[in-house]
Order: sequence, then structure tokens, then C-alpha cells
Amino acid sequence: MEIHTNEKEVTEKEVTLHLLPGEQLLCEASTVLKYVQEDSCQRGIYGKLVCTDFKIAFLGDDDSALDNDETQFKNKVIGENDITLHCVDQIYGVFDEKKKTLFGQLKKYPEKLIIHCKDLRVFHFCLRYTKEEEVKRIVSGIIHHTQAPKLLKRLFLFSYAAAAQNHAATDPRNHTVMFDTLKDWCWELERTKGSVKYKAVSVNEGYKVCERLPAYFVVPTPLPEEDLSRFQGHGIPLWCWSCHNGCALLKMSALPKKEQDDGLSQMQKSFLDGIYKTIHRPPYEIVKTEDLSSNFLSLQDIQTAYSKFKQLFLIDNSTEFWDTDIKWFSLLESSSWLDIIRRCLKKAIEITECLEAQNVNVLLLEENASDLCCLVSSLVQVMMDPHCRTRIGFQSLVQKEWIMGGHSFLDRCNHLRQSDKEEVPVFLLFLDCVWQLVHQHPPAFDFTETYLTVLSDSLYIPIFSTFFFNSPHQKDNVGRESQDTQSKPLNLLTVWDWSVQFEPKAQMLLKNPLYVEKPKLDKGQRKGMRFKHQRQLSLPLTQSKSSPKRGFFREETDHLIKNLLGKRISKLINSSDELHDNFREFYDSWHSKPTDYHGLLLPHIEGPEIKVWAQRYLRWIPEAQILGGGRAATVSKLLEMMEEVERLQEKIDARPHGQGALLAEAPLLLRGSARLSALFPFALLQRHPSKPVLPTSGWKALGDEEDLAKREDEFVDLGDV
Amino acid sequence: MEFSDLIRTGRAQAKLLRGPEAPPLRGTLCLTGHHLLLSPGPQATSELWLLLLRSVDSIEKRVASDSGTITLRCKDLRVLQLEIEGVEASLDIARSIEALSSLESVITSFPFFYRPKGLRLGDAWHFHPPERYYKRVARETNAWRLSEVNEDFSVCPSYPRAVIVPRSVDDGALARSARFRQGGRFPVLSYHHAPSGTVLVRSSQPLTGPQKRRCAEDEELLRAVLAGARPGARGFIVDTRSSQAAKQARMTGGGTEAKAAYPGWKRLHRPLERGQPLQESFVRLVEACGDLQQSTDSWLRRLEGCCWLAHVKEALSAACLAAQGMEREGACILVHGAEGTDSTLLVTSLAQLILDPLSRTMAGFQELVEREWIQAGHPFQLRCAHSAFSHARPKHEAPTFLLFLDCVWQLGRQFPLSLEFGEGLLLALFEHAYASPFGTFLCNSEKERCLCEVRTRTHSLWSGLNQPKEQRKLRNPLYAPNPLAIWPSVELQSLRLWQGLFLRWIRPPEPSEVAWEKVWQIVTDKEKTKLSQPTVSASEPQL
Repeated sequence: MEIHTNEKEVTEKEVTLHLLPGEQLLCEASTVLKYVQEDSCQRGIYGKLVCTDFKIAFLGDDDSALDNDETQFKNKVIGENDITLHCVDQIYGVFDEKKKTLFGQLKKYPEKLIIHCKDLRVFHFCLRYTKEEEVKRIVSGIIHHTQAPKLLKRLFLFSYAAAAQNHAATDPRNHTVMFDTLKDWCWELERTKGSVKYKAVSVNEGYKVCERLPAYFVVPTPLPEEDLSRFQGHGIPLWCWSCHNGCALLKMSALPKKEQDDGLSQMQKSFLDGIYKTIHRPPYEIVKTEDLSSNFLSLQDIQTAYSKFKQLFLIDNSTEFWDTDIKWFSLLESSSWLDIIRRCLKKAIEITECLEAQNVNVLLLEENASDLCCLVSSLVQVMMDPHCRTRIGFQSLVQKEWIMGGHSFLDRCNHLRQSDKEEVPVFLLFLDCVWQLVHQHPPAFDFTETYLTVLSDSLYIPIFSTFFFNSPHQKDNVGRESQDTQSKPLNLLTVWDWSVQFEPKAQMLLKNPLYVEKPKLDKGQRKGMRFKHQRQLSLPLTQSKSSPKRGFFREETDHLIKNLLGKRISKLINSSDELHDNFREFYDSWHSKPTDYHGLLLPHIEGPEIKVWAQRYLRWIPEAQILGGGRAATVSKLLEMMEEVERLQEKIDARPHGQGALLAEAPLLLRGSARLSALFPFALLQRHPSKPVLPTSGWKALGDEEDLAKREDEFVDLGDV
Repeated sequence: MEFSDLIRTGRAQAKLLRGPEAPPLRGTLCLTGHHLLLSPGPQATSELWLLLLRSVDSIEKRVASDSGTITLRCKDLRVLQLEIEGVEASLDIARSIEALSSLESVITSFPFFYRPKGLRLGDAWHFHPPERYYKRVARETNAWRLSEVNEDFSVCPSYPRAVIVPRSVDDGALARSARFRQGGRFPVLSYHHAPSGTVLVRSSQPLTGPQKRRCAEDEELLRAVLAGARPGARGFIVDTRSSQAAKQARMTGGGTEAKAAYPGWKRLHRPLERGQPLQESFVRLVEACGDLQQSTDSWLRRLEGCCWLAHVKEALSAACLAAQGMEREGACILVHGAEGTDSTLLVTSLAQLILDPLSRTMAGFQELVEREWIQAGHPFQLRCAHSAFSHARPKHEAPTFLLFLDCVWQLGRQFPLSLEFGEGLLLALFEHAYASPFGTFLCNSEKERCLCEVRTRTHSLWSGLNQPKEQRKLRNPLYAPNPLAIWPSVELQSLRLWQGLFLRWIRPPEPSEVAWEKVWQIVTDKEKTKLSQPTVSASEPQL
């Protein structure tokens, strides 16, 4: 191995470590060589590797002028060479050219450290030139602080909140509805016109009834309050959202199954019967129950698929990249991640069809109603409710369905490293599904894919409380605990305050310039529109169309069921054929009409339409960069043009400067798009802007010209001659 | 022979199904020598529907008691269904379509009858001859000259009358070099890269044969290529066959340049798929696209199985290699495979798109297609006789030109601002290459086109496309001239299926294309605002 550095570079320039309030340096090592991901030549930068209670950081001696402030999409909290402790996925050590996973107590210390991050970055640190003492300290420090189980109280979140008390100057709420007050729920009920049949209740204030449920939630109006507390919140239909036709999406956590205790199960049964009776009676629509824990994805499926899928992007070097590139499609297929996305989208369309076309209520059922329920119900809302496609609306949706819905972020992200088994990227799967929609219908969304990418990155930044608790109860409780010791309440940041992470001009990249603003109409007109929209979307029910696949017997029994049980119930036992037909008809009919970006929005789910979220997954792979091209180029050009349109318009109208001021900032970031990579704003490659990447299967490093001549008749490439 | 001999029944009542997006059409079906027409009847408001018979790739008939169904699969990958009243009528019509769509004679084909309003015969036919490109080269260097050694197509039947060759080599030497190259395709200039002072040259394989023959004039020609380039330039011969295939070619009289005979030149092998395997790959891909009710998983398996994107990747990376050789290494590049009429042209034309900003303009790209494909002797008639649906055993068919268009589309997708033309132009070229009312893609070479008097008796596609009404469909609203080379990312992660082509008739346009309308709107807004306030646009360059 050859290392292209000279002695001069080894002499360290002072690079100061930037510490957040409350952050503490734990250990450090100097003369560490960080490799630049390159093919055959292993170039690198010398510097200091440090580990704090918040992050692992590499402080390079390299001239920091390279961080061209104008073109960098900078995160104010996490630098380019920073890895938060929660972002670390796997750590490998290289011993005599052999790569091994590192964990626990080490007997021998590696000469090279490879860190795989959850945001799919891969870092290589060479420790060969570091003092042995420092190697021991830094390696065991990093392993301990990233891999050992942690107590909730030890999260950096709290030390940061305690130290940063005075910093919270900006309005953290940012107009996102947090759903932590009764008012927020009432507001949502009003917005969706659900208040006629549903009510917000405060029975769980102080988490008296149940610790899994939020302090406030919404249930069908006739439901007696004492029922709510019967089974600790299990078996209660919780309201998620109401459709314009009055149908609602509900969710329920299933009652725990107890086979031995007959009395109890009898009680449960009659309780459930009572509940169902209440919500089956008019004015409620018929309820269709969708059991997500029995005939849908399992968490295990998601976990397995993602762990295979992510390996496609955690690539150690170029050779490995080109080796896997040949088999790209089959590897992608065998991970079945894209198929899982497709199944989620399909399920959401099926439920949308029930609500929209069949006018039935849908009740989602799951063990705790906090994983696939969150995923499916929020996907349905993104498709059906244009409000959820604005940034504020989307954030409110995440707040309502995921944070208040009690998705166990702490366990699912394995933030405390307590159980790898519990680690399932359900929320990431949701973001990927939304990305498919954003990618397919860009004008329908107020936010960009960059927004989704930075949101997925924020899962691992422990200064925001949003994704670091299992339930609102846990958050409030821990908050209260620490309140005893200190007089002031802890000021936990929410991730929705994007100004914590990004400067205003960087935030411009989160906003979609192609978003089609809702046309502003006066009230009378809007009513008319709404009616039209409703008519346009409601489709003929499939009764008219007889399913050809059904056999004689099938039809007979159907008749029997209809006669015996009445029409209402027979609908519930639809044959799967019929279900499929309904789905197909709804799906085809929607796609054959022009898209209304402020109405119902369905994704295409045919094979070729489900794509890899390149910006998130491929952004750190140098070979996948397209310099001066890709979407980044389009977006920059559009922003530039819109800025111009706006400026010209302003001059014409001679109106005072309003929102134009912000917009004008954006192109600064994107100027000179010829130098930007397609995966902007995340590209790593600005450092070697002029090197064309030549792909070869089985790349061979070439020697000098003589060598080339000798191997004339072989398969030879030009390469870096 | 008269067309009427082939038309058994000219008229019938029919219903036309055009896929899920368009409503069915009812009316009177008429069959003419070149077209299938459906007239929707007096009460209907919709227009006459017209299909060029030449674009029918395969036909399938099925009869019921009193009607017949004909499924037409077109060369542009469209699938149509006609329900025709009367069994006899439908069988007759099916047979007639079959006969008329497979007529081989060039001079009875539709372009010789097509006389559109607003176009004059002979327009745009002299738009892009090699002479025009030579003017540009002559401004940049005087090492090259225009030779008319092939004036009567006797030296090389597949070259145009005029070719650009090193100034120091006389016509006699060219003729002798031509005898040493398959099909007479001696090395000629394809592109002069002015910034590096290097050139891209193309030819066919040398006829070294098992005896390892040599040809002094051919060697002199390649020496002159290096001598005319920047001082000290080396040369690389990019062979589009594997080294094994190149060696095998010796047994049949072909081969490769011997190392010792061409000092300064090194040989590289970049095997590209061609001929039948390429056609099969195309057929399998279209099959997979026609069957989308499958899960993502089997879709990816089929996509990989058909290898189409792997061919795109190989083509682009071979072009990158050639372009890199010129721009980075300052070397001259000679590209050839066997005949030098397929993958050779693929590589040279793509390399030019990567390097040459002018070839990325609307006019420049049309010139590139004309010069590097049509005039350079890509046998369009043979290669595009059938598309992906044909049941006939493929003989000479190969979608090389489509592969080129796909590669250009990938470049356009990766560099959305750098091409002046949009997907619309590429789709139009694909359609017209396989079946067209224009004469541009007729025949296999300039020689044949001369014999058929294509230039004087048919209209040029370019004059058809360059009418103002067509422009919006063809142009890229976001175009901004980019003086740099555009280096594509060629690994499979960065390549996409060209949905606009392969799924064009199966589903609505690519979702991101929906945003296109919005983009047009912004661009038009911008222009409108500018118009309404001319004083502002004067101060615009301050940006």
C-alpha cells in the first residue's frame, strides 16, 4: 500500500473541536489517517479522531478551504466528518487485511477501523501511525459508547437540554400541530369535519388509563368513558382521520389473547361485541376490519429485507462496488425491500378504495397499533388528504400518527442498544413509501426528497426529543423526573424546528419549487369544486360487474350469506376475488384520469415504478455521482428561473419585497450547477471535480505504458495510465 | 404489381381498442396501399384515425361467429386491437395488412408518395452532408482534407461520396487502404476534438486474415492520423469485439491491426453486443414490459435477465473510454469492430455527444445522426426491418440505433440541462427509423439512396421535424449551453429503464414528466414577463 502524504502534512494544524452545549470530550487519538474513498490508490487525510458523548468526529489537518461555504449544504449540528453515536451501525476492525466485526472487550487492536453508519456513510480510519495507547483508548471508547446498552437517562438529549436552556429563542413549534393538547385534536376534528361523529377525550390525562396512549385522543361519540379504561386502552377504536364523505379511518390495538382464563376472554368478547355494536350502528358507516398483524407484512420481514438492502450501499471500496454492480438487479430483488414498499403502497390503496369508493369505515387492527398501523394510516392520509402533502401538514401527520400514536422509536431505532431484535426501520419504510409518491407526483408535494432524506437522518441526532422516546408518556415522565432535580422544566427540542440544523438558505432546498399551490377561491366556488371533486372520484361500486372467476358454489353461498345475514354484513366477507376486482377498477380508473394534485393521489405500483431512493441510499458512493447533472441541475435551474420570474414580476407590480427575499437566496447554493453532483446536496465528490469515472467490470490497476503494450491482446483499459 | 391486387376487402365496420388510456373508436375501416384508416362516421366529433401499414410489426387474427379480432403490434411498440364485423371481411383485411406491411420494395414505399402541405421536396436534404462538417474541421486544423475518392461509390459502397481524410494521404493510397478493410471502409475522420488537438477515426476491421497480411497504405494512413494530431500524440484502437472474437475473425479473412505494423497505436478491446443477441435482448425487454401485473421482484429479475441495461452500460462506458482517451490522455482514437457499421458508430457518436457541446444542440444532434449514422452507412433498412414483436426469424435486424437513442436518453436524464432536445426528438427518431413517411431512414447506404433517388423524390425527416409546430414537443425547455464534457455515471444504479419508450403505450408518461408541463409553464411565464416589460430584460445579464 502506498500513501501519498509527505511529512509536512503530518504536522498538525490546530483544528478546534466544535462542542455542543453539554457535550463532553471522552477520548481522542491523533495521527489518524482517514481514507478518501477511491479506487486503487489509497489516499487519505491525517487528523485527530475524537469521541464525545454525542459523536465521533474526525478533525482533519486538510485545508478546510475545501469546505466551500457557498456550495455546501451544511448541517449546523453534524459536520461532514461527524457521526453521532446513534448513527453508528457496525464497527469493523482490520487485522492483517482481514475484516472483523468489533464488539465487547478487545484483546487485540486493529490497524484499521471501518465504521458503517445508519445513514449509509462508510468511514475508514487507519490507526497504524497512532500511538498504541491512543489506539486502545479510542477504539475501546468508540465501541463502548456506541455498542454497549445504555440507560434512557444517559441519552445526550438530556445533557443538551439542560445545558442549552437559554438557547431556545425561536418558536420550536413552527406551526406544526403537536397533538399534545385537547385543542389540537379538536382542531383536527374540525378540519376533517369529523366532529359530528367523533369526540376528543381527556380521560387519559396524566396517563391514568394507559401509558401507551397519548394524553388526549379521539373516539366515536357514543363510546362510554368507562369502557375506555376497561382494558388499558386495548380494544378501543381510536380515530385517525375522517374522509370528505364522512367515512373514518380508525385503529385499535388488539386485546391480549389469554387462552387459559375463560372468564376473562368471555368478558373481552362481550366487551368487543359492545364496541362493535356501537360503531356499526348508524350514523356510522359499515366497518371493515383490517387486521395488519395477521395477513400483512411482519416486522421480521421488514427487518430482514432492510438489513439485506442496506448492504448494497455499505460499500468498502470501488472494487467491491464494481463487483456487485454486475449483479445489481438480482441483489436488489433478493433483498425484497422494493417489494415490501410495493405491498405497503398497495395496502394503503386498498384502504383508500374502501373509504373513498365503498363508503365504509376502516378499522386497522394490530397488537399495539403502533407499527404497521402508523405506517398504513399515515400513508392513507398522505394519499387522500392534500393537507398532509404540505410540510406543516406532513409534520403534523407524523406528530399525530407516529409520535402520539406511540411508535416505539427508541426500540425500533435501537437507540439504547438494548435489543437488536427490536430494531425495525418502520419509519424509514414509511419515508421510502412517501418518497415513491413524491418521486411519482412531484407537483403534489410542498416538500422535496431532500426534506425526506434529512428527516431520515434526524432519526439519529439525539438533540431532538421527537424520535427518542417510545411514547408520549415516557417523554413526559422522564421530563418530570429530571424536573425534580432541577427547578426549570427541560426544554426538549423538536426536530420540526429546522433552523436548528439548517440556515435559511439551506432550508430552501427542503421546499419544492414545483409544488402546485392550491388555487385560492372564494367560499362559494370552493363548495362547487368540492362537490365536483367528490363526484369525480367516487366510482361505481363493483356490484354491477360480476366477477367471472367465481364458481357456481361460491355464488350460491354468497346468496345464502346475503339472505341470512343481511347486506351489511355480507359486505364484510367479500371474497378476495371481488376485493381484487374492486382494487383493480379503482386503481385503473384513477390512473386513467388527469391528476388533481389537490385531490386523491395514488401511486403507480407496477414493478418498474417502484424505485430506489437514490438520494438517500446512493449519496455517499462516488461512482454513482453525476457531476453537473441529475435532478440537482434541474432544480437549480428552476429556482433560478423562478427567482427571475418573481423579480421581474415584482418590478412590474412595484410591490414591496415580500417572500421573494428568501427565494433569491437559494440559487446561491446551487449556482455553478456544473460542479454539483446529481445527488446534491449530499455529494462527497466536489474534491475531484474533473475526474471522469471509468467503469469496468473487473477493473485492473494499470502499470505504465510498457505494461499496456505487453498486454496488448488482453482485455485492457485506459484507466489512470 | 398494384396495391389493389393485395387488397381483398377495402372496407368494413370496426371497433378500435387503443389500450387503457384512450377510449375505443368505432367507425368504418378502410384499407389503402399504405394506410389503415378508421373514419368514425358523420355524427362523431373525433378525428380520422390513421396508421401507416409499414409500422405494423406483427398481426394476429382470431375469429368468432360473426366477427373477427385483429391484434396489431406496431414497430413503435404500440398494441392495437380491431374488432371487425364479418368473419370473411376480417380475415381478408388481416391478410391484406400482412401482405402490404411486408412489401420490400423501397420505391413503392410511402415516402415516395407522401406530399405534405407546407414542405417542399428537396428541402433540408443538403442540410448535413460531410462537406458541412469539413468546414468546421478546416477552421480548427489543416491536417485534414475532403476527399472525393468515393465519388461513384466504387471505393466503398457504404460510405458517402465525400469523406474527411488526412491531408498527406492521396486518393490512390486511400483506395488501396480500402481494399485492405472489410467493405472498403478505410479509416476516416469522425470527430476532431479541438481542445486537445486529437481526433476520433472510424473504419472496419483490417483484412489481415490467417496469413497476417499487411497494407503499407493503411499503415501510412494511420501514421498520418497521428502526425496530424497534437505533437507526440499516441493512438488507441478501440476494438468493439473481445480479443478472442477479433482473433477468430482472422480465420474468415478479418482480424486486427498487428502491433508491429502500426507504431504508436495500442489496441484495447471493448466487447459490445451486436446482431441477434441484441435483438433478442430487445424482444425480451419488450415482453417483460408488456406483462406488468407482476410484483416488483419478478420485474427486476426479468429486467436483469434481458440484459438491455447492461448493453446500455457497455455502450456508454466504451464511449466514455474513447472520449476519455481523447480529452484526458490526448490520444487519437480509432474505433472499429467487424463491419464498422454498427457498434463502431454507436461508440463514435456517443463519444461526440460526451465531448462536443455543439452536438448537443438541436441542429448539432440532427447533424450527428445524419453524419454518423445515415451517411456513415448504418444499414437502417436491414436493421430496422422488424421491431420487437415480429414472429419472423430475425436475419439482419438489430436495435443498434435504438440502443444509441437509449444511451442519449440516459445522458439527457443525467444532464437535464445540457441537451437542447428532449425525449420527444428521441422518440420521433425511433419511430421514423422503423416506419416513416419521410425518406431519411430509407435504404442502407448513400449509394442505395442515390439509386432510388431518395433525395429528390421524398421529403427529409429533418424538414418535417424542424417545422415550428413540432418544436415544443422536441425541445428541452431547460436547455442551457454547457461548454464542458458531460461524463455520465454508467453503473446500473444510475441507469434507468427508458419508460417513455418501453412503457409508452402501457402507462401514462413517466411521473416526473408530469412536472415537465409545470416547467414549460415556468419557462413560458418567464418569457411572458420579459415581453411585458422589455426594459427589465435589458438589465438581465447582471444575474
